[in-house]
Amino acid sequence: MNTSLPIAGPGAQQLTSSARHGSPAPAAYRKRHAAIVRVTHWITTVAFLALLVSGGEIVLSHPRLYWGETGNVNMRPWLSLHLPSSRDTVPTGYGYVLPDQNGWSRYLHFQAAWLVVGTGLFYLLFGFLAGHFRRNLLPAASDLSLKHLGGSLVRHLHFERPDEEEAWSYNVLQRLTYLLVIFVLFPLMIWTGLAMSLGFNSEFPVAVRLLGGQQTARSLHFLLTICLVLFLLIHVLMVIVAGFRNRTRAMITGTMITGTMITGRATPPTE
Amino acid sequence: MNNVSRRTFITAGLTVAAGASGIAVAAKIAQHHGLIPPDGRGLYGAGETLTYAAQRLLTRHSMAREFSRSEISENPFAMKSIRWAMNSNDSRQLVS
Repeated sequence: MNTSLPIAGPGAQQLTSSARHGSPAPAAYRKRHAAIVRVTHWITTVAFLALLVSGGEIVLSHPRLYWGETGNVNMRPWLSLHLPSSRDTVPTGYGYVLPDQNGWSRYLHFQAAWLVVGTGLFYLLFGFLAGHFRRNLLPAASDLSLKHLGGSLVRHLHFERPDEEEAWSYNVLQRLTYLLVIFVLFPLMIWTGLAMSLGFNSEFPVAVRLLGGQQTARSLHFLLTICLVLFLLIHVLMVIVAGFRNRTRAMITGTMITGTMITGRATPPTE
Repeated sequence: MNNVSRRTFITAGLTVAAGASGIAVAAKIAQHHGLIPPDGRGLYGAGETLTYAAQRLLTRHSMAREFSRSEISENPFAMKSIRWAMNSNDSRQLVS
């Protein structure tokens, strides 16, 4: 039972055999996400949105990006965002200067960053100790064949709703994407963020040297933001494809309604 | 209340009490070592205190990175004041 439906864990209610084979079964609530996954998921959501808004405001102080150690208005940016700025020294091509909102932006950005780092460390501890990564996120070796990956990709591109069996576990593309976000994008985000901190760099200059300079760190921080925003958009789109109400319910209450994968209608069990 | 057992209730209560007193003691110690910033209160006080304290615990000598002479920017940021200083005769060393 646990091997075929790894996400459910030992606390799952027994499934009727008909539901296990994909045919419609009487609707019932069944455990889907652990409490720690749900709490950390929503704290991270709030913190990420706060970081996105405040980060967008901060970038307006100088909406130009450079490579290397130095960057200023006398140098050629590799990317100009073509946005108005909140500094009158930045040549933007706009005839006006935005009001300076850097005070609350920086406060909120650091507050939310601490929140996401604390939550992330707690989640990592849980993920390793409770076997969440090994059981729910590490793809099976057999799933990593090109044929299997390609098939999964095609099903995703056709916006196919996952079948009943697949809905209780993460599929292979989902696992790889989550691992990428958790172990690559977020750590890089924190690293490039710290590499912009003058205080941190004074003690650990290697953090910014390895990246190739403070302006490179800033540019990478911006590019990683785009990656995470793309992830967020695709993530929400896939939740909608899989059944928005039922999936969101599962991430809030921890339980999902069985036997709803074909129609997508989350009809609560009549008991 | 029915599904919260007495054991769970007492454990949760003790955990909250221990956490609260732990934070209170940590705040006292931090205050003593000058780790609480002047703006360490209010909506963003928690994050600001963590940043301020972490920087003071991490950094030992300077609060900014040191660069070698060769890394001095060739095209310095032209603030109005610097531009003015560069145009005046007093500070020729600013112009390379």
